[in-house]
Amino acid sequence: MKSNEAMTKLPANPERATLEGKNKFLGFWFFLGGETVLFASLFGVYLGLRNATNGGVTSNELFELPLVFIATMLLLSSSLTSVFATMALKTNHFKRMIGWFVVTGLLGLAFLGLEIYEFNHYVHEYGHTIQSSAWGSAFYTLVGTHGAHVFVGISWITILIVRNLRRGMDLYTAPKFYLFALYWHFIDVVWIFIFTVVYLMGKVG
Amino acid sequence: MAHHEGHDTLSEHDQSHLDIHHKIAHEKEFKQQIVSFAMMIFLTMIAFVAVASDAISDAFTVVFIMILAGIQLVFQLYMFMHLSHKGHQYPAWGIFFGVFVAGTCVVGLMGMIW
Repeated sequence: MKSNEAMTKLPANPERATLEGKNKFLGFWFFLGGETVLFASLFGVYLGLRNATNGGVTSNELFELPLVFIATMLLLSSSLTSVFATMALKTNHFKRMIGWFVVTGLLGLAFLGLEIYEFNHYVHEYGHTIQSSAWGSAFYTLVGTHGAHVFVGISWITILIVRNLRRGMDLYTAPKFYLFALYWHFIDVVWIFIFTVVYLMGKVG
Repeated sequence: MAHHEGHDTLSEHDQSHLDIHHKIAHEKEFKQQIVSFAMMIFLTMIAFVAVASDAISDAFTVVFIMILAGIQLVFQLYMFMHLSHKGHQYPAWGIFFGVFVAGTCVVGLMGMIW
């Protein structure tokens, strides 16, 4: 069983071994460059409006660091598990890769659950909504866009796993899984700046 | 013709050599990834502690945690996203052009709103 997986030889970088793989790889990095600008526009607006509370609750009163810390740890860990998955991909261990991607998806799901709880808490306990102030609009748009990216990521990896489980590792499936790992790391990068700029700076004032 | 084929296909001996080199490279990379992850956890904790404690002035805290976030960005791009590997010149151009426009965008928007 075990030898069956390792028997089939793949090149050193199976995600870039075909022309299609190369094109996807390059195109996806350019896409991430564009995504950077999308998030930058939301960060810029947020930084401009973060004190426009319209007389309502302020960021210092609203945010709770323990919750944000747990969310950060969840997403950072999921970044590590998707690195493990990428390494399994490069060494041609298909089942191991799938296993790590499943863990990645579950951690992402836990993060998303925490975020939904958080938003729900803000709306019902503090009356902090997307309409309550300019800061509220900027906050939910920025953090919500990131949350939507997490949701897209979870959906993406679920479909990839279900669709390719029986196909196994080859030069056709390798780029697909590799690009998902890149996307997931990018989401983590955005979160690093969200917890720094939104939550930590919101606590500092 | 036979000569040409000899260049294309590796002998079994060469192949096993190549495999060992790959294995060593992967084990080294694995250790680097673990160290990177530990560093990122550490930097995150420092950032949270810096904000939670009152010992440091607010202005310095903001600069400090932004620097920590910048370091984490480098770790993610170069270690986790393999930007340091061969064949990443064009991806690097793509993402850094994005980062450049992003920086301009953030500064511009902040300036306009203030």
